[in-house]
Amino acid sequence: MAIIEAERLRKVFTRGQRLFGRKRSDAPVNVEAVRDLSFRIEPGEFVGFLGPNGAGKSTTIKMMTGILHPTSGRVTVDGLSPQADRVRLALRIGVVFGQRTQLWWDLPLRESFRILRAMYRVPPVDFRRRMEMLTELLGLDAFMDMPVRQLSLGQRMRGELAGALLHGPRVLFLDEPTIGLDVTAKAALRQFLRSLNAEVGTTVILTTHDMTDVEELCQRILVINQGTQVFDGSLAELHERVGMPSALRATFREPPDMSRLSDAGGRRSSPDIRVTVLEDGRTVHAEFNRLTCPAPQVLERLRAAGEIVDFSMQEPRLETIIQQFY
Amino acid sequence: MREALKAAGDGCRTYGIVAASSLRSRAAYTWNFTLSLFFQMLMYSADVAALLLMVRTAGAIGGWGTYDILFLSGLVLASSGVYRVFGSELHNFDKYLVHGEFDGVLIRPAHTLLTVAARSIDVEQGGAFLEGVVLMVLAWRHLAPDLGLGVVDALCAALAVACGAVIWFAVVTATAALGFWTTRIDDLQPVLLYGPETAVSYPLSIYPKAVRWIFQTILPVAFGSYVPAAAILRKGPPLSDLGWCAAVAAASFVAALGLWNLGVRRYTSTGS
Repeated sequence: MAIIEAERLRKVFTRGQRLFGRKRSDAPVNVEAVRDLSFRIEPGEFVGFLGPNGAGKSTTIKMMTGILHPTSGRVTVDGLSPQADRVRLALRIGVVFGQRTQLWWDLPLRESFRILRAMYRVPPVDFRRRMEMLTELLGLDAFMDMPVRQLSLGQRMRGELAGALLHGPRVLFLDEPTIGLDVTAKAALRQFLRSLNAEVGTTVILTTHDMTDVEELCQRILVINQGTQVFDGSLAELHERVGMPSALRATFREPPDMSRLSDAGGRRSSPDIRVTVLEDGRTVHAEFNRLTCPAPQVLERLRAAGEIVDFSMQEPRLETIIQQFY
Repeated sequence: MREALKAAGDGCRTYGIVAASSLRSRAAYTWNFTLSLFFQMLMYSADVAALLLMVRTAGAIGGWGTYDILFLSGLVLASSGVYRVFGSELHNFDKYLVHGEFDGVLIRPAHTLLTVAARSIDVEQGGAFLEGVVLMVLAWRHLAPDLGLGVVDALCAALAVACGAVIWFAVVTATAALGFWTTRIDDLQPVLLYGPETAVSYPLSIYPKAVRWIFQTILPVAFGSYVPAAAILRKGPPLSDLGWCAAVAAASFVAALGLWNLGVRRYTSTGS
């Protein structure tokens, strides 16, 4: 049985609507934020929702968590309608918004957990057991008695996660959980989410703009653009579809002779390197697909144009990959 | 029905824990807390002093003497002080709508109004309530011998504060609920909240008919101020009028709750 089912989900926002009286001369505009979205998610899956800003990811998450009502279509989470059964469903899901706190700003972290325990009616035994586990895995001890407003972003995020998991939800929704965190904090967070998914079996739904989040966490990727699903599969399958767009930057000792580039190594036929010379005349920006043309090969071909004194790789960015779909 | 009662019970328990936590965390800064209370009371005193000065000069207004008005403004201050403590989140509801924080309210397993109110309890705002009670007691000591006020009247005064508190809380809730349509509520508050608060600190009898009508119908704040005060201070109406006050208080809260629920429905179907 699927834990989340969405069927022809659609959400239309009406902008420019007037409250009282006659409408303005220009009629209200309907914006279709989500259209005809259908998917099934099985228990225990770790799914990443990807897409550019405004693609409809957040709207979809909001419909799954009972924050918004779909204009049409149907969604169920753990067998419940998030709209009709909002309160009951809230007891079974955990939600973390990366940019907003769900904790009590002025109270010590520990107090937030006490309030949540009462709110979610967590039995004392479960509370103690989960609190122990979360405190250890997330290292909460050091700042348990500090008011939430004094916590660093990384600490707060760990607190948010613990708060969202105290009642042992079956599904965890994370809206850009790693946004603004430093590298170490991100790594710790991913480690935690991985073990939560693997050991406790919690289904995790995540939105992110961070390629590493996707690579390290998501078994399945749903790419959404302009409100509809444009891809559903694993990361490997995603790469198969769109390749792995990469870029490198090389600096030459002398301004390179670009005319000699195409002859290099007799690989005139491979069209998959796009080269632009930057303003200084000596630096070259090369875009290529790492799947069909590995970086050393690109370098070798660039060397035909002159002596390279320095170069740097630029990691493939999620946006670049996703852009292949538009 | 039983489930609803149980949910309400759980909600109140959660609310109690939030209240206790807030109180504890504020108590950690004793000086801050005391000073803040003190300055608030000073501020409210200035308002009341201005009012009394005017009454003194005029002798009496609308048949109400200095101490009558002291009692009335004490009643308004005490009862409206309650929403400043327990409804502080509703009072500042803008932020939930402007920054989309209301999303976080909808994911909680409780009624949205309770969840919002339980976000924080502003103990430091208790100054208005305290000062109101002090003013009422001062007036009482002066008026009691002449009017023959007894225990029953004192209980009625307590009931009047409670009715006022519920009515003001309903007004704050309704004003916040209007925010679901208007997004900002800081333009509405002076009209629906602060203005009426000042207005009903004076006897209602001095106002034109239309104003009296408003405060006794669509914005029924007179039932938490003038109406019970007139009964207690022997201005004519019988003490049994307090029954009406309690009924109006209950009805206005139910109406505010209805408006709130309507607003939430609008939020969930349009979003931010």
